[in-house]
Amino acid sequence: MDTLAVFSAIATAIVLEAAPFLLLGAAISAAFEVFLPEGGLSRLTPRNRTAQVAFGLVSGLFLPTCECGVVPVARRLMAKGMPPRAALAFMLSAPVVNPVVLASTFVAFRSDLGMVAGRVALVLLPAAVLAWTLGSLPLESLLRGHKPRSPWSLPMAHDHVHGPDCGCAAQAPATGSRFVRVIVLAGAEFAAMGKYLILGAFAAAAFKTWLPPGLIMATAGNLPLAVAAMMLLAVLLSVCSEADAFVAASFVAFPAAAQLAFVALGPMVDLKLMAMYGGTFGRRPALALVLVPSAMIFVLAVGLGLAWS
Amino acid sequence: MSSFLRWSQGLLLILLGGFMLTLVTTGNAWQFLNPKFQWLTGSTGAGLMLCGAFLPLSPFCRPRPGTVLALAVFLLVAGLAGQNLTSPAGPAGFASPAPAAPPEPSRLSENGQEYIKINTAELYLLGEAEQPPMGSRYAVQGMALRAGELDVRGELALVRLSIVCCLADALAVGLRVTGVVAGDVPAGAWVRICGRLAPADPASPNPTLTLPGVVTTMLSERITLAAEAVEVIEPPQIPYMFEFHDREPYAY
Repeated sequence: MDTLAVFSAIATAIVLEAAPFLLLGAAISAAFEVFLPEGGLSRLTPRNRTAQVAFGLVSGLFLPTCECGVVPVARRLMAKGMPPRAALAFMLSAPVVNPVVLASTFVAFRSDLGMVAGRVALVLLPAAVLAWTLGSLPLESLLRGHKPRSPWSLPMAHDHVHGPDCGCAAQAPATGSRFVRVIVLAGAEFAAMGKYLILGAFAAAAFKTWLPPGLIMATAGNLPLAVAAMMLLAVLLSVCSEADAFVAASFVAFPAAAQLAFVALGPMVDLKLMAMYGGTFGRRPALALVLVPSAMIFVLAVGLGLAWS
Repeated sequence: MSSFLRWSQGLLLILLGGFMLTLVTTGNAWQFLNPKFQWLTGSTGAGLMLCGAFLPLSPFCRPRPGTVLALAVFLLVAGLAGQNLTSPAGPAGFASPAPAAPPEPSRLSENGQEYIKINTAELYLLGEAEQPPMGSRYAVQGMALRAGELDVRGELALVRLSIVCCLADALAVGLRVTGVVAGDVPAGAWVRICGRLAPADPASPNPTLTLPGVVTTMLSERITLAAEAVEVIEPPQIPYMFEFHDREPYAY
């Protein structure tokens, strides 16, 4: 295959792989919008701030999802009254702290529980820090284009054209039943978030097709460089969290800490997620969602690597 | 303009859903995804077609031009990828349901010797076992990769792409084959090797080999296959490995 064929095949594969999870996320988000009463979620979540973060961190165990579909769900949860601390913690941890991904990590690393525990720790720590700090921001600062609701405005109605948080489709009087409204809203949300997925998939496919493989491999002998290189690779490849452990484990020449950094960062920061963050969150929160996990995972992984060596 | 964008978005979602459904119904989804996810791809395709059909009915929905453009460009790229679907439909498609034929024998005979059929990933995993069954005879097929240092030692690397979820996570997995005359097997050719499992010589490290679009190439550090018969073959109908068994009958 020539390189253009490789590029098109990989880009198509990434979108096709992620599409079911994005549609599922959009459908869950739409169902929340249509069926959940205002403030319904805030009654279910704890009032204590620490408990809210903890609630979000473990929610993935009960609502397994992957990173492709979790952003619209988290945004809708916040818009429907879930405390941002809980929703952000859920968004960042659920792609890893869920039964499917934990099992695949266990299998990929040949039943090494240390790697499973290390992955969970490297995800939970930055997720908790970000949920705690960003969660205290008002929604208008946290979410892009979010306007507070008023008793006079339609729910989620605002002055922009359709966006990922836009509930306008749900208000369409011509759409009839709630079921139809869920379909319309899910389709609109899928298309809106799909744009970012497509952009991320194209970028990842381009890197995968044209990045010289030797560039990454040359760093294997130096711990900080190896960790940084594997983190960069996790961002560029944008592999699904259910499969990334197998990819990481295949880098046998790299230290275990670098492999851990790969599987911890990818589900929180990759090219498609960066595009989705940019389209969903305000500029500074989106930047924090990329930079804070990257910095924390780098430091933690290098520390782990030094401790293990 | 708004109405045009709304209808365009609906149509593009229908086309995307149709593309996904077509891949599944024609049995070609394996070219992008692990076939075990076909039901997911198919149902998502149907769901997207449903969404696309209802979307234009909501006049309140005003898609951004960038969203419509992204979907359109993706469909063009997917169409380009679809043009390269050269292989016939795989066995897992709706169009060609799983055959009820008896399972293939798990062994084959070559020059009076019996060989266990196995794929390169299963062989790699055997090599990772505490005590690999050295001396056992295996038949394995894959793509031959050559490098200068391998040619000198009369070796080649035999690999196949292993896919867990989709093509983006593809890994080339295999091992070195010893006792091969350089030049007998062209680089990139598909070959079937029948041979005996042997320990890898630690003094002969694996070369770094790359394949376009593949994350990394894994060659066993512990085992090699000492070739007893080498045959250049046509690539199998589905060249990727999606299944791995830890005992006979192997997925081959």
